[in-house]
Amino acid sequence: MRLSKPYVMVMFAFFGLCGCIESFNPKIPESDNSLLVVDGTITDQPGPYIVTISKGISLNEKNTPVSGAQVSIEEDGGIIELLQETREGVYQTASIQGLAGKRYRLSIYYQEQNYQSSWETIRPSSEIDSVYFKKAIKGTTDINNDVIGLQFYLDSHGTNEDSRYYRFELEETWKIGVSWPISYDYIGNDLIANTTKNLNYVCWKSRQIAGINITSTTGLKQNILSNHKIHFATGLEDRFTEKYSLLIKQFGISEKEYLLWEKLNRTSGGLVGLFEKQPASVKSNISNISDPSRPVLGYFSASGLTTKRIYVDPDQVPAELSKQYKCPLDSVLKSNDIGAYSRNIFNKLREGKLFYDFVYLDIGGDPSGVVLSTLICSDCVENGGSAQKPEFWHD
Amino acid sequence: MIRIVILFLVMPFIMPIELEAQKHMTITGSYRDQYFGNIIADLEDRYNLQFYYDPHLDSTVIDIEIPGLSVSEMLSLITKKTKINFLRKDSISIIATGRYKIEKYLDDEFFGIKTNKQVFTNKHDTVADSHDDFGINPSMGVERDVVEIGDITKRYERDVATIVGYVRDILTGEPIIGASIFKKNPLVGAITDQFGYYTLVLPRGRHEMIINSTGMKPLVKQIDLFGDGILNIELRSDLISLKEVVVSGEINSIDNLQTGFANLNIKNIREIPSIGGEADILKIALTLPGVQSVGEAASGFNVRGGGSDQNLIMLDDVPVYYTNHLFGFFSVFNSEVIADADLYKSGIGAHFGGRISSVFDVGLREGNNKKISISGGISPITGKITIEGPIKKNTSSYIVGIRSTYSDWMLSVLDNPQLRKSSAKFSDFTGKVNHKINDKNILSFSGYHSRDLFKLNSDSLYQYFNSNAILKWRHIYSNRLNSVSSLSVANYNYSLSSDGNPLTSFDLKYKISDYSLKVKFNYFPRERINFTFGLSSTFYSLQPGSKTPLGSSSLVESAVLSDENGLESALFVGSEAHLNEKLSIYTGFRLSIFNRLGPGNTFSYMPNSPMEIETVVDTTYFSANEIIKTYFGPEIRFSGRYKFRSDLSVKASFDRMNQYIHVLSNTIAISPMDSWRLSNQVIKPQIGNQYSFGIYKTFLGTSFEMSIEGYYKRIFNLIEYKDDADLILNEVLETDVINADGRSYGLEFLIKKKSGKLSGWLSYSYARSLIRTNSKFPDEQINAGKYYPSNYDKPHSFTLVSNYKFNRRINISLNCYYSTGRPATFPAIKYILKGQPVLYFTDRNKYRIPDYFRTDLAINIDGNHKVHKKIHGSWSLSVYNLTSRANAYSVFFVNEGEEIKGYKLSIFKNAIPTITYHFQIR
Repeated sequence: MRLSKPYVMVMFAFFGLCGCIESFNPKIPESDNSLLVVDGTITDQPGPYIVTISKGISLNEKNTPVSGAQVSIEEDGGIIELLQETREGVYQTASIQGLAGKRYRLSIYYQEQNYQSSWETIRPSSEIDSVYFKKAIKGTTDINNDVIGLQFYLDSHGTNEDSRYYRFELEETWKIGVSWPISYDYIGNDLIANTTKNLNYVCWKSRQIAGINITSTTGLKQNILSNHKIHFATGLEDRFTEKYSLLIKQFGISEKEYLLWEKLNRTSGGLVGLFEKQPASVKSNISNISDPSRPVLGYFSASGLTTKRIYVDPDQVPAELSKQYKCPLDSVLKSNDIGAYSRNIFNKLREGKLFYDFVYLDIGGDPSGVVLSTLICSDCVENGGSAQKPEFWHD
Repeated sequence: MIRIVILFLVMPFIMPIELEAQKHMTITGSYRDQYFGNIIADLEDRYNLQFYYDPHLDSTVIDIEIPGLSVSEMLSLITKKTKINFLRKDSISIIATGRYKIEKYLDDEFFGIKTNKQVFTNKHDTVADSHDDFGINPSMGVERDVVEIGDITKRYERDVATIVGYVRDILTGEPIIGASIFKKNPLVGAITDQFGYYTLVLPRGRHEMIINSTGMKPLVKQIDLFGDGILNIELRSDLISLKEVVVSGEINSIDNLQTGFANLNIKNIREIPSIGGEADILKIALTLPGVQSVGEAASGFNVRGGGSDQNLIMLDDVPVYYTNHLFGFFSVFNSEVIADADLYKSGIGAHFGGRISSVFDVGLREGNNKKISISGGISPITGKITIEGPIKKNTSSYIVGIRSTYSDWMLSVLDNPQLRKSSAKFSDFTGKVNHKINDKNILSFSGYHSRDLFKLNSDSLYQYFNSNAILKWRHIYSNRLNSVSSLSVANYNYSLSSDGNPLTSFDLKYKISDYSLKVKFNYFPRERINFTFGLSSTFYSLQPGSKTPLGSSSLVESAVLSDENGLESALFVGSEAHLNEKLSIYTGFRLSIFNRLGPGNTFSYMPNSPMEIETVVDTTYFSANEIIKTYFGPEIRFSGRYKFRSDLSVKASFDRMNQYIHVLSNTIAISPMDSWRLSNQVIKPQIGNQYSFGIYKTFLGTSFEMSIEGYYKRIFNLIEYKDDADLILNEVLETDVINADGRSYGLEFLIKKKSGKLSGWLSYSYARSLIRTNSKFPDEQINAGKYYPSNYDKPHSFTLVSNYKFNRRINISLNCYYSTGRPATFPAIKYILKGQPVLYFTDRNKYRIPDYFRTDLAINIDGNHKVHKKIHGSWSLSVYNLTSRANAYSVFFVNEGEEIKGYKLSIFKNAIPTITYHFQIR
């Protein structure tokens, strides 16, 4: 129902303006005291569940982890489990299992202060029926720059028991290859040997998709999501060159948590026009019981969880998206001075270049030179991938 | 010979004398700055004396102390003080002879003969006959072209007479609104109303009347006022002659009673540069001190720290509920059909009510009642055409103005596929018909309709409409009593249809209608006092929101809020009294009554807990038109002016206003999708108390007008919102609103040059506007219940509006605007929640966006001024944001990896040039 973004965009359009967004860094004094930030979740899927605690200080400093707190999760009328600190500021459950319909509460004791969340009930998340995609073009705030990619849609149907408020966490994983797999090492004098280098030609990239992704079916007669736009993946990177997978975690959250995310989305989501609500401080469901005047940031959420993973093969996407990006190759061509030619090659190899192949200008003749690759073009780990095949992956 | 002449002049005011012996009399009295007339009346009351004098003298101010004197002694004292001579006819009858000293040797017969002659004809109407007809020797100093008003046979009646009449444009027959008709020394005058009519009470006798109106040639008329009568005046447009204004002065800020008043005349407004070449009266209002907006192209305006829903914005006396077209770039008022606009920031008359910050009263023109005329304008964004002409010559006329955009082409050439499929347009229609039934009755009917459409990405369609109509009847009962009655209807509605996804397609609708009856009487019992009284009643009918499924496959659940009805009625009386030459006072009282009517549910809440759905303990249902809640609002209005000298006055005023209808908006600027809602049993009427004062001074004659105004304003029951408030389709509003108080104060400086080649104004204001929430519950507090700046708190603002006329064809306007950046809320802490970096905001409006500065330039070129030319064309070249400054529209923060980056968004980064062509066919 908000008008802002379309309005602002049309306003740009109207007056043919672009580049109207400029950096602006006002002086914001650091707050005198740091605030405790708690991020905890319990779901109806098996644990362990994680609670992280840190201290928020300012806008540009990383929060410092809070170590040595006593953290517990309590089931209403049931057990209380103390969490173990597995890493600095990260606390983990061992055995507790969340159940739909039950209420849970988080308690923290730290530096003589007691913190406690309100009781949160787990409501089941609806069944995800299908996730599918279509090619799409998306505009950006730069009106001259549209991007092409895949628009993913989600269909789900839920009962009236299921939560009508949804939050999604998305994780994308895709397989990548290399532009120039290396077969030989260059020895010198146009001689080569089978490579001894241990390079990776198949990798997987994995990424949590940033952004707050929420929706609700309140106001609809049925708890149904249909053609719901869940994610837009651009083809700008190498996503669709081999095989792509999208994991959707659908959390059935409470109305209170939904409103919290809505507000966070509004205030952290960029572009704020005049038809927007004022940014406002967000209230946590965790409070400092010892000193209620001191706000606590973060949230302890209890939610149902359903997941769905889909795969996208290169032949399912338009060619412009699956097109392999080929790295440029360096080349050294023979000149009359064979010594200089050789030195040139070895200099480049020492710099980290890799021998890829000979170049032949005359068919059947001697090599006229060599072409050289770089590590990033021949080893996908260098290109940000992981050679470890994910457990879930199947080709 | 000379003596006879003098007596001839004095003669008409002498009445037969009653004889009664009266011997020695001792007179005492103390008169501080009193009118001669009042002193005489007092003397006549207390002593057996009978005075006869020329009513001219009535308004002479005298400061006299009579310590116990005989009649002769007293008379010589007055003569000494005032140069008024007296003639004692007998012991009780005294004749004031003015400047002339008269020997007492003429007998009664002399007077008798003259009066019985009846040489004068009765003059009821405007007559411009010369005195020559009566054989008066011109050498007597009587000016030619004296208009005689009133029944000459009644010329002996002492006291005053009332003149009524209209002021019209001689060429088009259009009434001139806001023209001043006045005499100087002492200054007595009137301003024409929306029909171009005025009523003026003056002492009988000879007066030099000055008639003045912006853009018109001033006129000086000599009148001889014998009794009540009519004086109709026709002025000629000053368009052709741009010479120095000959007669300077009018009823200016020194003389009028109001503080915080401004009249905007459309003739000046056309010369002011504007965006897209569209002259816009609302944007001009923003150049006045004390008037702010939250940002470039924001809808509405804020007056002296009030919300934008607290302005009563009227078009021809009908409220307009949403005043902007096209994202706030243009106002809904078509400048072609507007006569003028009055802005009252304080000193608001009792006949106005219903909003607490200001009244912005836009008047419509009447059509040319002499011949048909067509005019129009073309700019890159809009086109408009206005047709006007007589229905029956000099009696009835019509005017119709249509305006539309053809701006879609701008969107269609864009690369962005989403916007290429979008569409934004508006159109509006304004029409007025007026008919003069006879001299005592005038009828007018006007209507307005506007439509705005915005289609995003071909699946969401936003539309909103204003529809207004009013029927007005002006009736003159007598010279001293007239009335304006009106019946009106105003309607605003919006809709949003979304059909992007068949399962979630919906229609959202909102509608407000008001039906209003008003009767206002103006009564002029005697000189220097007048009364305004009457009543008004408005019935509001709202459909506050409905959401319905669109298409058969839609799963959207219908949500229809129950209708809201209310009745706002008011009785008002106001009186303007000029106690003496220096002191004038307006006192007004308005009793407003608001009945919130059914149907509807009201909820009662658990005591001592915040109002939430969970704390509802009881629900009461009210059937249609049952009274749910009644509020009474006694409202006192007061203005006083003390004029130290003819060029210096001070004023003070107090205004109390009640407001029963509110825009619910928790966005920074109000948007067309915000809805008006009525007060209910929980949401109390907003109340404003404003104290203001001002010092007014003119320099170099009246070429420069300077004023300093200050104000302090308290607003009660201001509406603030809880952070999560969703105001659309909200059935239980009170659970989302917070009661708050507002406090604003400021000083406004203004220097204005009205005439000459260079004209314009320069203003600076210092203004603060603060809000405080009242709840004891932390959830219902903003900034912990402390005062915080409102969204439109801009402490410093500076405006220059100037126009230089090179010659009669070319003029240049240059305007500059500066203001402190509006308050904004910035984040304090970044943290990660479920993998998402998010921001923690602290105090609302603690920071500010960068300061605003803009310069606009316009060059206006008129075609040649051959009188008989059929088509008269003019060009206007304007450049908006001449300095290409990228003013911040908003500031926002984005997470970029590890870093939070701040950005400012500007709408205009470049200078925006526009060419507009305007034509008129006669």
